[in-house]
Amino acid sequence: MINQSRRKLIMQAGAWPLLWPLVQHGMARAAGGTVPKRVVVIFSPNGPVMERGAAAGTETDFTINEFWGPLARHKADAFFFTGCHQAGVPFGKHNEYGHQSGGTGALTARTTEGTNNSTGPSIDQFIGQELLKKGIVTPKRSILMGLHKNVGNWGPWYEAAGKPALPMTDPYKILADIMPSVTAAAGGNKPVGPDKLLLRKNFVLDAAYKDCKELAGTLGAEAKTLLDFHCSNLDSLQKSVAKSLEMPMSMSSPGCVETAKPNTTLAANANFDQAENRDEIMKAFTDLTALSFACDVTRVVGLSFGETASRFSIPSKYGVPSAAQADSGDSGPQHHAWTHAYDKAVAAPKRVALKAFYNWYAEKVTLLIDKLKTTMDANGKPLMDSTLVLWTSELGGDVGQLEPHANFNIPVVMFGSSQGTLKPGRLYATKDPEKISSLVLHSLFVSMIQHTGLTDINTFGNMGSGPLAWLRG
Amino acid sequence: MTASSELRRLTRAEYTNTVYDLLGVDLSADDRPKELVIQGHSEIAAGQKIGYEDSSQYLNLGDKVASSAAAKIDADMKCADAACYKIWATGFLLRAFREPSSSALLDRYTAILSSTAAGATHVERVTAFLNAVLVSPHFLYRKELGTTAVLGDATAKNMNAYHVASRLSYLAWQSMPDATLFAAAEKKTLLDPAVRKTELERMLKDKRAQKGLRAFVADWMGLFDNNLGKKATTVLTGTPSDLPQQAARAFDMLVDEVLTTGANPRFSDLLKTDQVFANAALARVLGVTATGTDLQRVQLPSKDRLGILTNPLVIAAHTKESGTSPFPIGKFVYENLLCEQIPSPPASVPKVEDEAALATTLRQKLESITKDQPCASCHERIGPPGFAFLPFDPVGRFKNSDAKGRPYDTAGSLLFEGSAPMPFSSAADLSTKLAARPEIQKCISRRMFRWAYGRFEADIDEAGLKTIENTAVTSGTGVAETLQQIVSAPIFGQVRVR
Repeated sequence: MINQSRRKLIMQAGAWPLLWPLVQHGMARAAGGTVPKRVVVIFSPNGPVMERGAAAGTETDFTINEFWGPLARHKADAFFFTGCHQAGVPFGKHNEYGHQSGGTGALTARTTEGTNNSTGPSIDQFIGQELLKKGIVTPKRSILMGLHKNVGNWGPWYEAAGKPALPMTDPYKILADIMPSVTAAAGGNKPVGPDKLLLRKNFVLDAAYKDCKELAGTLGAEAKTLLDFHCSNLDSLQKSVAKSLEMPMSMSSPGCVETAKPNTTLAANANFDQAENRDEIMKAFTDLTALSFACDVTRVVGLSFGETASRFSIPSKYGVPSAAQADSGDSGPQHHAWTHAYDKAVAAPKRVALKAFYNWYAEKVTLLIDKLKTTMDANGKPLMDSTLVLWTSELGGDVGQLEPHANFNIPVVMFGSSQGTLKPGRLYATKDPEKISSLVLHSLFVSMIQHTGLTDINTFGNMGSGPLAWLRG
Repeated sequence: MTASSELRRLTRAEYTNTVYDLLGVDLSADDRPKELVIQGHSEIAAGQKIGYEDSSQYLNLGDKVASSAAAKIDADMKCADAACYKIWATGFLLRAFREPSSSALLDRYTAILSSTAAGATHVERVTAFLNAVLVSPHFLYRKELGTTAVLGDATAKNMNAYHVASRLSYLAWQSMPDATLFAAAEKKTLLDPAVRKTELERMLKDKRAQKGLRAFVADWMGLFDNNLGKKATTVLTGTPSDLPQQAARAFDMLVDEVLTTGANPRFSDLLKTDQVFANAALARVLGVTATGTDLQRVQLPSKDRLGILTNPLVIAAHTKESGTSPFPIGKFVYENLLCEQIPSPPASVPKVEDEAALATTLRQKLESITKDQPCASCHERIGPPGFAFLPFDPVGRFKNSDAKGRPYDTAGSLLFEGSAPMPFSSAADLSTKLAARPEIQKCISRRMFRWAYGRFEADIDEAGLKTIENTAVTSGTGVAETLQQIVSAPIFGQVRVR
């Protein structure tokens, strides 16, 4: 419910009497669970190629592969999966190789069905959309951040069928986008009036939504479908803005603290698409994720290390050797160029390069988990207690392989116990890909969905599965 | 059956130009929601969904523009009562929404100007009004709605004159209609093809026509993003930090120079032009001589580089971050210049050793692994034109030999259905010969049709389209005449509805 003293202040601002029905409308739709449950979805491109997965051994007695070495300090909080077939790709019935099928299906659990794009939303967008439908409204439906914008298609992030979602790459712009909500949440008891910008946005969106619905009624079926999608997003956005006006939330979090700039030494005009800046950008993204959760700006964050087939590089100080020009045309200290280095003569430097990339990804994931463990939510508990963090890729690998662009043996790690309801610190190693391994990841996605409170959703993507009961131990 | 184009979301260029012409605010340096590229086209209406983040971006951009323009609008409005607001809003919304507003819509917007919920001061209320306009679907989409049935064509309807005016202005200017077009729309004279042709002649003499031509060329060349700044650090070493901006400006100047000067210029002239625009920094990338920081016209000194296919902006759009990318370039040549669809590669492709370890050249190796079916059916087409560009690095710098000092083999033949192969010796030679091919003229005509209508052609369109294509080939029609043929066709006043 809206803070009473703050509502009074807003009403004193003069605009409130007319605005109130709009915000009340938003509040009515905002009823949700009392303890926010959150998810982070992380995508790294190109796969490990020469390794099968992050861990090997038995369910409870396993060792972490050196590619994923930095994850060791969070081993007890993680579920490791090896041998799994990519969700959305029925074994033996579909293309099982390549960046396109892998990229468009990795987070959507669907195939392209002959198009260039996925035929449904990615898991992050889906959860954000469904939470909103259930009245669990936050100032941002979801936040998608990325280190590298690829220039081609086949990205893993989708708002809807045929509608890619593009990660934001500039931490300054991300902070500016959430700042009004952070300010409202963090400074709720300060003697300030309502944010004029938020009030205006709320008003504007209400007008635009009315225009949208009226215009939709004048169109043919195809154009109406196009506009209905737009109208629904205006409605979602208006609900999000209205939510910001209700701030502070019923519970304020000690981790929700206003900040003047992102946590980075990079200037606002830095090139956020350059490899040398990526440590600093990731530091900013990590803090922005924790800040967004602590202020309940969103329950869903997507984080992209690069898009499918991305020519992704990391700072030169990590010493990634340079690949010679490959058949894909690229070369240099890039993850993708090395995945196309097939000559046995370069197997050794290739492994050095791939290990460096995976160590770097794993270190960044580990730092994110650290941050979520040390940032407290409104209950005084670590954010990580109520957050699930999934990390996956579009391609898999196997020991000693040089050329797999396979959509199986997908490396998957998920962190979190969902407030003690799940039992992490275990390895799920399947050797029966033909029958079940595709459904494992479908089920994992469903479990993530249900973790957020959407307990009536039992399927995601193009195959029904139900949740993954194994997670509960 | 083709898709509907009743609603055409403004492209980034159209949005930017329209905001500027309506309110005088320049958003060209801002991030704007991107259009979805469909089969090499950015203007196909059916796939242009506006999502949640797009809506958020439009909202923020709208507020930026509104905040910037409100004070001046408020001062110019000189209104103090609702009746005055309504008169002002009637005129403003006509321009912003590109048609007269319904009385309900007009009342709703007029009410914003006196609503305390919209803002405490009048300037704040004007700001809210402007932002509401800029976020409204009436602004963000080009509406091409049907009114009456078209005799003998069940899938088409006649558009109202205002929507015809918009179709005309966005074709010629990539922006909203001006007062003359609005006046013609009110009189419904734009429903007459002859009047449209006359209006187009007027519009092509306006400076805004440069924006229309630049946008079409950018779409034709696949310049949906400026990729020059996205190359690997090793590739960007030695290039100016503002290479993307400088190259884009130089490219626009070249398009203006070739397409708006001389007698009867043709789009294909861009393929064989021996001119570039460069300053000292850009000249080092291009391998030419220029001094100072101002962009100036420079004659290309050799036949290594010729026409816009060898322009850094175009090369960067179709190459990876490093190395060379022969197949993407070859695919681009076939799809964008010859209007042939090349299917995506199969999921599992044969491996090839690294170039450093190759006894043969990269070209020889790639040819050897793609010479058999199923690879050959596509690669015998896209390979040769792609190999012609091997000497160019991802930012368009030219070098004669590969890392081992072996000269690049850039010769090949372009295959055409129904006619003899076209041999060429280099990228420059390929460009020159392509400029003279009838297939190029036909493809440009076909792309212009899609550009004008925001959809792919239907079977029912083919007869009219072939007339335009054939005229382009046999009569050598130039830019202006091709556009005139399109706007004077009866279907320019119609829309397909599904």
